[in-house]
Amino acid sequence: MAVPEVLLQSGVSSLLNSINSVIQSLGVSVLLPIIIFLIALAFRVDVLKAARSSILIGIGFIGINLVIGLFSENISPLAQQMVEVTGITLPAVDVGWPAAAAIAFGIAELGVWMIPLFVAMNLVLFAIGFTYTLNVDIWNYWHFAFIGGLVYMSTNNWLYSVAVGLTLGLFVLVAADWTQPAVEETFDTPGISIPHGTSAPYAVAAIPIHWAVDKTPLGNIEADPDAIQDRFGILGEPIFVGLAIGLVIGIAAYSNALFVAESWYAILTAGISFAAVMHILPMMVGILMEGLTPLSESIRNYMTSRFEDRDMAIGLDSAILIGHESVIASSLLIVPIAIVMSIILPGNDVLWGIDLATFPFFFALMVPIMNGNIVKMVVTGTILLIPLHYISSAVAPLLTQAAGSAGFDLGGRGLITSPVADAGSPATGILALIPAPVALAVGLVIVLGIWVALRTWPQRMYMVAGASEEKAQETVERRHTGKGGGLLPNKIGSTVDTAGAEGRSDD
Amino acid sequence: MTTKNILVVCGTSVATSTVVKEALKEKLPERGLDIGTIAKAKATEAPGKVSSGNFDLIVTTTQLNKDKFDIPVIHTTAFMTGIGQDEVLDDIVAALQD
Repeated sequence: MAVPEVLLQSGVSSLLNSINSVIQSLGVSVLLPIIIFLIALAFRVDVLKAARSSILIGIGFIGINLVIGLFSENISPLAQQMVEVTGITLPAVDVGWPAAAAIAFGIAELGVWMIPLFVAMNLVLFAIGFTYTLNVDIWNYWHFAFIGGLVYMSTNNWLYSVAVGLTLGLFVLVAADWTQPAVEETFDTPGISIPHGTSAPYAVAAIPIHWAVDKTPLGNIEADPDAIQDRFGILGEPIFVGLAIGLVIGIAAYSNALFVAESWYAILTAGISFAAVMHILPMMVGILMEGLTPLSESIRNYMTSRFEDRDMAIGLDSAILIGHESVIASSLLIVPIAIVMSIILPGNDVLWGIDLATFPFFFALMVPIMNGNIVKMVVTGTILLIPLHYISSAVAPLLTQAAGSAGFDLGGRGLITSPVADAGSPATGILALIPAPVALAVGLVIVLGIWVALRTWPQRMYMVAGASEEKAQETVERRHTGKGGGLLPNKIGSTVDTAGAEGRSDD
Repeated sequence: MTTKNILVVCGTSVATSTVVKEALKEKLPERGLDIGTIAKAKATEAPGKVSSGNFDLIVTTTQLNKDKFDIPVIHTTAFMTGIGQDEVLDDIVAALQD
């Protein structure tokens, strides 16, 4: 113990320990408002507004903790009892994206620090012409904090965690540029791109799967999204889904005592509790969002005012795409499929819950790729559900640990996960499950691969993402001809790429 | 003028709808409108909430099938991008005064 290096090490680690213990004893609901207040002041938010924002963020965390408490008191024990009684072993309970986002921002060492780090990275990348997108949707920076947080839990290395988080940030920027013409055309959102941490990885992974699905007879079936919405619309109302899932878990847990009145008290309570969690949790997360709004406006102005004369796409939440009838219809149809798969897939740990309402984000960017054909969307989605179950099962221990680190009290019962956003995303599989240095290398190769392809065959790439030939050509003329605003080239190789009718692979 | 209630719709009823709600809360009173509740909803919940008859206008950040509603529907991303907010506010005021 008396060796000097060890002393030095123990000095550093005891400093870190005491910082940690301050963090632990303050708790996220106090610490996070302080951090947000400082960041807001740095971005010149008015002091009173910044104070109000910070307090709301603290309130949001306390609210979320209350709802998670309700969940862990009422649902988690039943889920365990279900395992004992039925033998169906699904130990990782789906707490959904609202909880995942709160956990991500709640990791004190990392969470909201991703906000200034990503803003800085995005400004530099825009300035040098790496991306056309200014991602002003700071709420959805939680995805970068989420993936970074998982890496932080497994490595305890802050630099790796930030680097992995920013790699996802890079990916969504490049993906946003790639999908922007198709999104603009399909959803009528001029000048907007969608750098979304959930939607972009699924959509990019869907491109090769859809290409294969399209070669089968399934590619020729059409279904009417409106009729499906009318028939299954109730699945889109989270309170009904919550009630149904709660009742099913309750019935399974008491399946050995269904003729006892007390069992039914518990079953009905489970139903109403689950419905309550699904209804109240987003409201609590809404308080967090309300707190972030003034900061988000300041950051938006800070970012966009710097480049007023440049052609830019403003990056927004894929929530703006979700009213599309194909998105809603596919998201309704996939709910029963997901539940059945969770039971039959060997080795799956996921017990579906709140993220059953998150499928619209999963499908949003697939609409242009598949021309809104819901049969193709559901079939492609079903194939993606296979890795989704295994990835979200595998990261459940890390996410559970992250929840503890963010100060959420799970009552020490079981595991949690958030299968759709983002625990089961292909990006999570690559960035959080592979050891950090390799994950970083793989992530960067994918990002640079797409970037180079976009600048080498821009028209073809835009068409692969679902843009029409005319739209792709128009975008090429606007973005990829002449000198761009930055240092990096808008176009690699010959100035015109030849994407004839044969270039369209997804027709 | 009577009090007007607005339903703000987005994909989650959490993120973009909150931005719109905060903007409306701040800017509509400046234009002399008497605003009652501004509620948020998911796109999938909107028909159910509107059928209660409590709302006078829908402001949505995502596409909605306007035929399914008997109240005016205004589709906008201006409050998130910061571009064209004034024009959209004009439309909202006009729709509420009808």
